[in-house]
Amino acid sequence: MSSYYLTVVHGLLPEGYSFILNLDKDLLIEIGFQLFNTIFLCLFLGYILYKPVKNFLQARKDRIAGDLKSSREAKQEAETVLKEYKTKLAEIAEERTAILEKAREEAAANRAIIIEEANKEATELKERAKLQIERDKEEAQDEIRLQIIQVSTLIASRFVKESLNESAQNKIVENVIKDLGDVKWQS
Amino acid sequence: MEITSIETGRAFVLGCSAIGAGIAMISGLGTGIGQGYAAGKGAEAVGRQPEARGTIMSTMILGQAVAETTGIYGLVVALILLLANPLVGQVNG
Amino acid sequence: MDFGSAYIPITIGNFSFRLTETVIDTWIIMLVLIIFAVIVRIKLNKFTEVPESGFQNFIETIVEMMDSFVISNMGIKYSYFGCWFFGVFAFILVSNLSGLIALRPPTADLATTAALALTTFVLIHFMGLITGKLGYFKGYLEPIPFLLPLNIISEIATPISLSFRLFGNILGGLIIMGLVYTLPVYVRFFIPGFLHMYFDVFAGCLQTFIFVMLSMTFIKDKIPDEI
Repeated sequence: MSSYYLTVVHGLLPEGYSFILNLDKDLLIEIGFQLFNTIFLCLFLGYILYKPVKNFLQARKDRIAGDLKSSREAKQEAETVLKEYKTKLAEIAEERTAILEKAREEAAANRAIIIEEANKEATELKERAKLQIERDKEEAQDEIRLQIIQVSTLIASRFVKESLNESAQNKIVENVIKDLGDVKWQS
Repeated sequence: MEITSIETGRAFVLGCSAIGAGIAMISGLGTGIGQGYAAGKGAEAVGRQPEARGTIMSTMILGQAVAETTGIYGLVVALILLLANPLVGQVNG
Repeated sequence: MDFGSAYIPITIGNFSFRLTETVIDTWIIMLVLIIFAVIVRIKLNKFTEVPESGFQNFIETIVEMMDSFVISNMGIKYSYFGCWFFGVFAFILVSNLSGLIALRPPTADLATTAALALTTFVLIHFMGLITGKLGYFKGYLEPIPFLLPLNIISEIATPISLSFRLFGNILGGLIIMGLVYTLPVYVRFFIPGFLHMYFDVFAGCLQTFIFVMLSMTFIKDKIPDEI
């Protein structure tokens, strides 16, 4: 018997017993064998190989989806916070500008007032000083006039008291002048 | 060597079985035409809608598989007649 | 020319059966697949968050593909059918491809394909019964009660056509390849290589795909649409 092509098992089995298709009781027994084999193998493969791998993949899918979702949420939150802070910063900057502006305005106003006041005071001081000078001058003039009158009166009284000689006259004048000097220094 | 009537009968049955197997394989004709037609329509559909290629392919293969059934029946009948002839055993002397 | 499945006749008491090549090949395939599954199960604990090894990528890819396949055919609600159909898919695919490593494909035997189709048949009617309740029985009387026998026949034809489709395809390829292998080497030359590519790889994958897809479609058909 020529085997149709190289088969391992075919060569090991006894010759003369072979069939392609026969529909009899033996076929039913073989179907029973194969049913058992098939069901066992398919369930084994399904529950040992397929299901754990599928669960593994599913778990990974879920985890990735969860990660994506949480990261999206975190990003959204961060964006909200960022927006808030930006608004706050803008507000603060505005406020600062306002405060600075206000301060500048106030300062300008204060400066004007201060300068005005200082100017006024200076003018007043000047006026007062001038007035004082005038008064002093008048006082001095009055005093000088008074003294001149006194001196004149003194000389005149001496002229009247003494005889009018040349040497005496000179002596009197000198005395007067001497006295005058004394008076002047005394006053 | 004498040829018995049983052997003659068996030879006749075997010869007729071979012819019968050949005739049974004519069923492949219809299957071939049907599958070719389905394939042509599938190609047309893919040409019209290239984006639905996967769906068209699987539908086409499904239809072809069902259409192939008759051809397979013919093949099985031919194989039984040729290789596992049930008729020869029924020849009695 | 011997294209059949060899067997050992075994008799235990009054009970006699055949230990066929198909069953032995199925055990070999089961052993390989079970070892693979156990390896995956052990390595699953070492799987990283981001796939780094090619092995992990491969496992993730086939599981994802099967998942989307089930979901596209049956909807997200019935994606738990992936647990069953992944095994069916792997078993049929490895069986069909086992012709490449000098085993007789178990699917080239009616017993295997009939067993597979029987499980599908049970699933179809079980799902129809628990989801459709009374509507399931009413479905047999449509469009007119007179067609009840025809409906029943078409229900019975479903597993037969499912099993014979797979069986016929694989057996046909096997016989054609066997015929070519009987040619002398200087005649057949490299032809068997191409035949293996077509019958084992291409037709094998396609028939696996079709079997699983048809099973899903039949099951989904019995489940009433929910609005």
